[in-house]
Amino acid sequence: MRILVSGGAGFIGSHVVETYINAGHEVIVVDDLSTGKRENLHPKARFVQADIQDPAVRQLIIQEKIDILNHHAAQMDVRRSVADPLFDAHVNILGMLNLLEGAREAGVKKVIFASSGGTVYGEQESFPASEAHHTHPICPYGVSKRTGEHYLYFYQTEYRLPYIALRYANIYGPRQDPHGEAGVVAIFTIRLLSGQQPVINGDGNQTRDYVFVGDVARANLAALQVDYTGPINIGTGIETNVNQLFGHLRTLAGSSAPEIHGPAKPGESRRSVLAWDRAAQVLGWRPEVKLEDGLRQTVEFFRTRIHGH
Amino acid sequence: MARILITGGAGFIGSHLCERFLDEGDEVVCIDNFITGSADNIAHLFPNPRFSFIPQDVTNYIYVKGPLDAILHFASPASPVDYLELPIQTLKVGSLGTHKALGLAKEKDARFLLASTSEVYGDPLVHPQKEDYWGNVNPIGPRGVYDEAKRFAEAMTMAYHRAHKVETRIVRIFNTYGPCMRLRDGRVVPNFIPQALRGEDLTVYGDGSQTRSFCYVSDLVEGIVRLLRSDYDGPVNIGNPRELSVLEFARLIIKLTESRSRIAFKPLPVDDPKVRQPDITLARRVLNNWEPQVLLEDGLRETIAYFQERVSRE
Repeated sequence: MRILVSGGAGFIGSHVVETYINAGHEVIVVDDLSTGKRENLHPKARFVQADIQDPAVRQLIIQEKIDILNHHAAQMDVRRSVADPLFDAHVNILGMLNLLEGAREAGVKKVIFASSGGTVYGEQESFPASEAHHTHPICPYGVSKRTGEHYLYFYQTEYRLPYIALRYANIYGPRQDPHGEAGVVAIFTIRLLSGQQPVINGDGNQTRDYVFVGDVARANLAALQVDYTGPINIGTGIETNVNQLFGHLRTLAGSSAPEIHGPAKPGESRRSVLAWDRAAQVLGWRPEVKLEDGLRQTVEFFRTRIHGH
Repeated sequence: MARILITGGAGFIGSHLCERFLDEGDEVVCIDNFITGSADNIAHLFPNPRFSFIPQDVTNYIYVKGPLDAILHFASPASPVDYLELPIQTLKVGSLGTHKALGLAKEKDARFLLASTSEVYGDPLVHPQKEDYWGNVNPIGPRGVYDEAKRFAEAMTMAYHRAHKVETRIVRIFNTYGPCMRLRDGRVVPNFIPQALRGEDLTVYGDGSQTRSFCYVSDLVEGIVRLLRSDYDGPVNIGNPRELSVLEFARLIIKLTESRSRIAFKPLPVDDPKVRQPDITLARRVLNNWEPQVLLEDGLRETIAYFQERVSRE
């Protein structure tokens, strides 16, 4: 199939592109390289450098007769969304709408959307959260991701455009971006490998659901095949707190840095963990990479770039 | 494609340099010991396979595998708050660190660029300052640790140039501002903007009539890149000649942040320079008409956006 991957030069997008190409699909990457990296581009993917808000991208979807729109381009920094909600909305809402207008006109067969299970549910009330959990996001990024889902619902209802919104847990792995939702993995790893003391925000008991980027890429592959429309959580169902994460990374980095705590960051949700039953049922997907194994691969990735300590 | 080593590459200016050279397709080796630099400034560069990092204090022997085309020596505490707190480290990195970095440049046959400072002019008796002004520095004052370390570093650089024929460049950096400055680093911009964003009083030392000129970091980086590639081996001022009193500056920041903050006056610290303005005639001439491009108001807006995010994280 002919697949357009927006944000295909980014951390997650580039892993998705690789998986698609290995499965024999034809991929066009659209990325403005504002956070994506040229180095992440797959040699077999066609690359168009453009902002998703550019009307030319809408035309591209139509002219290139795209079968599948896989939308990963985003302003993905939660804290930036708080500091600059207008910018977040421009990229994540208006940029997405631009793509959806193209998809509608082009008669695209399906949209796969990178949503955020870590933020759309807001302060979670039940654990793990299923897709039926209420959605009251507490950051503009969560609002814009949830808004994207609303638009998908509208396009599906009005124009019969099928979609799958993959609600991701906190994704980590090689090429990890420090500004993403699992950015703490990158920052801790760099500090530990450099002999610098990492600082844990608050008591470190806040939990997240860390899912390996390779598992996420597989979910995107499975999403091509199935006849289903709606949101699907992609997570592990396992809560890991920051202290545990620090402990794993310290061991893997071979460091003896003590566990040090700093002031808590306001506005951080306390617990986040996603149920993946629907992913299993609909996509035949399950998380396969254990946290320790995924973190090992991530630490090794950073180790290749840090020398002489 | 060149292979470039940047000491202090995780610092404010160093991290912008890392980014610039990576963007141009060069390979960058960054050295930092994170005393004042931060992993946060470079964490986003690690996915780039042309980036590598050596966590090290440059006052110790520096070992780097493979060839190097250029060494940019930017490691040093650089704000008064830091060098008053780290006086000996400041002197060591300017003297021993510069020596080690020059030794590496000689060994690798690499071009060496020293990050010097307008502080070499001390409390200047001529205004604006040209490169041939020798300065007015109090060697035993508390700020002398930085000023004299950089003066020594310039002397050492010229000595390696003359004795060992190392290709050297010296940039005298005037006040620079932009994203990646640290909160509370004690300089005017990172002091004023967070105060304005939090609605606190802006602290002005003295009566605020002392002047400063502020250069946006992208303009500085452009000047440094041009200097590195030029064939001019004497010191070159890089800064923005637009001069503002500290008081005018405080008012401008209050306006741009739409803050309700007011101004609080405090006594002037020892040896605080009264005026500081670069004469950039030489830079224009030898750096292919280099000129600051970013308007103060525009640069400040970018910087305010950066600090907004930082302040919201606290």
